[in-house]
Amino acid sequence: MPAISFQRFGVRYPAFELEPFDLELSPGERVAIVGANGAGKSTTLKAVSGQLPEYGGRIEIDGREVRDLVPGMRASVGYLPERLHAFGWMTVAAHLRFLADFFPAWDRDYAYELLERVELPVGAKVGTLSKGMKVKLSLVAAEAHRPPLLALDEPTSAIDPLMRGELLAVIDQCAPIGGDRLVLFSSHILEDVEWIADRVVFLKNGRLVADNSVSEIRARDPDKPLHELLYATLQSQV
Amino acid sequence: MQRFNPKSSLAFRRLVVLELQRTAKQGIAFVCCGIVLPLAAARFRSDSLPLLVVALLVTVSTPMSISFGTSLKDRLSGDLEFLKALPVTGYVHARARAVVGLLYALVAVALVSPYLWPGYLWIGGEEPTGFALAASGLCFVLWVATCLCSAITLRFGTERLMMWGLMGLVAFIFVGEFVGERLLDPLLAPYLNMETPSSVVDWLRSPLAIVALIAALPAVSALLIAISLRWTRTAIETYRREDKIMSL
Repeated sequence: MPAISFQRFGVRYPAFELEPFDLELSPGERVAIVGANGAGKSTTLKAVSGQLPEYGGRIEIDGREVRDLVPGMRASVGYLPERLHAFGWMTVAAHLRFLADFFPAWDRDYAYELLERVELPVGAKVGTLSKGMKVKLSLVAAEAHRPPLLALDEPTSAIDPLMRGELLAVIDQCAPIGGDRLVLFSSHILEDVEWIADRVVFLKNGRLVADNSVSEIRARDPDKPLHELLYATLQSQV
Repeated sequence: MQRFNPKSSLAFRRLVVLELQRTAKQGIAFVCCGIVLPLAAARFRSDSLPLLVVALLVTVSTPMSISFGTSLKDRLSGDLEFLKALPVTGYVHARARAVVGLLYALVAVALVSPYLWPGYLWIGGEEPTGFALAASGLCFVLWVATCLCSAITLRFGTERLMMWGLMGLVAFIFVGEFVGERLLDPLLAPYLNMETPSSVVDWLRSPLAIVALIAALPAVSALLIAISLRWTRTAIETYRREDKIMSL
């Protein structure tokens, strides 16, 4: 059950800066990181997944710095990248078989159950899958070992509404709010945030500008749809 | 957080198999070229230089283009990123690549061995001169040492090692045969107070020359290791840091 603490976490690249921020996340939460492209969402998710070697400040998981835990800690994170990382010549089954040997908690039966749930053909070559199918495969790969932390980088961007719905339903079932797992996902689709998140962190131009629970945001105007309130929150921040 | 042993032999075996799968096409091309190239060279070297050049160009360009293509594709598609995200240390990756690199080096040794005297005579070639053997041997040592250093330091992918291997084969033949035999022998013979190239061959077969050659090979290897020391040190420091982290 990871509790994650960002302490003055920030990065600085020649063309981009994510200003240092503090953030505490607890198990059972589903936290959306919302912001425009280039706001720092992917960078934050990469860092917490143990895939960003250089950054300022600290990210602690259960009190221990992430950089001191890599690469082993990656076995406890289900990371869904913005673009599927896999070899196109592998079949779906071969890709999952390959990954299974790296994750001690990998559950083969569960992986196949997830494949069936998202209707992914096991014999298909990864290179021939559509974008939406690739995202589904990424989600299966991230979830098949039931990691305590699911880090999902824009899981629903650029896929059709039907597939989006299927994916969000799977996430909703796999890691319920109030359970023992933490879901951290980035998105710029506010309807997705409305569906999945119970807490929203807003990044704008490389700066954390707001951190609110969904109930707090709803309370501002109960008559308005949540995505409109989210949009208003993002707009109102300088 | 779950504990995970990054030195897991299962993960290591998986990575070795993956490297072989990834490079299978180039590997087959590499082996085919390795067979065709020395045979073509042996068959045509004396009486048909243009044919030999065409054979070399065709055999070299095929796996090189496949190699470049695969490497570029993997890089552009981000496929290799997927390996970086696995919960294993760089040490496991390095070992897997080194094993595959070594395997290709051994295959290459097996392939070029018929080209070495006396195997060379067996496939119908003429007896190579001492300089040809010395220059060829030097190229070969350079190539194997570079392949291994590169593999261990994780500086380059297996496909690039294979490309270098093939270039090593070409150098092996060109330097050994054309530069060594046709240029160096006649060029150096007068300076060594020898009248004919065959005297050079005789001189190279002397105990002194053999000792010098044997001494030169480790020296060249040491030089290569010294050149790649910075890469190696960085790589080892990274592995040690990761291993230390995992043993906490």
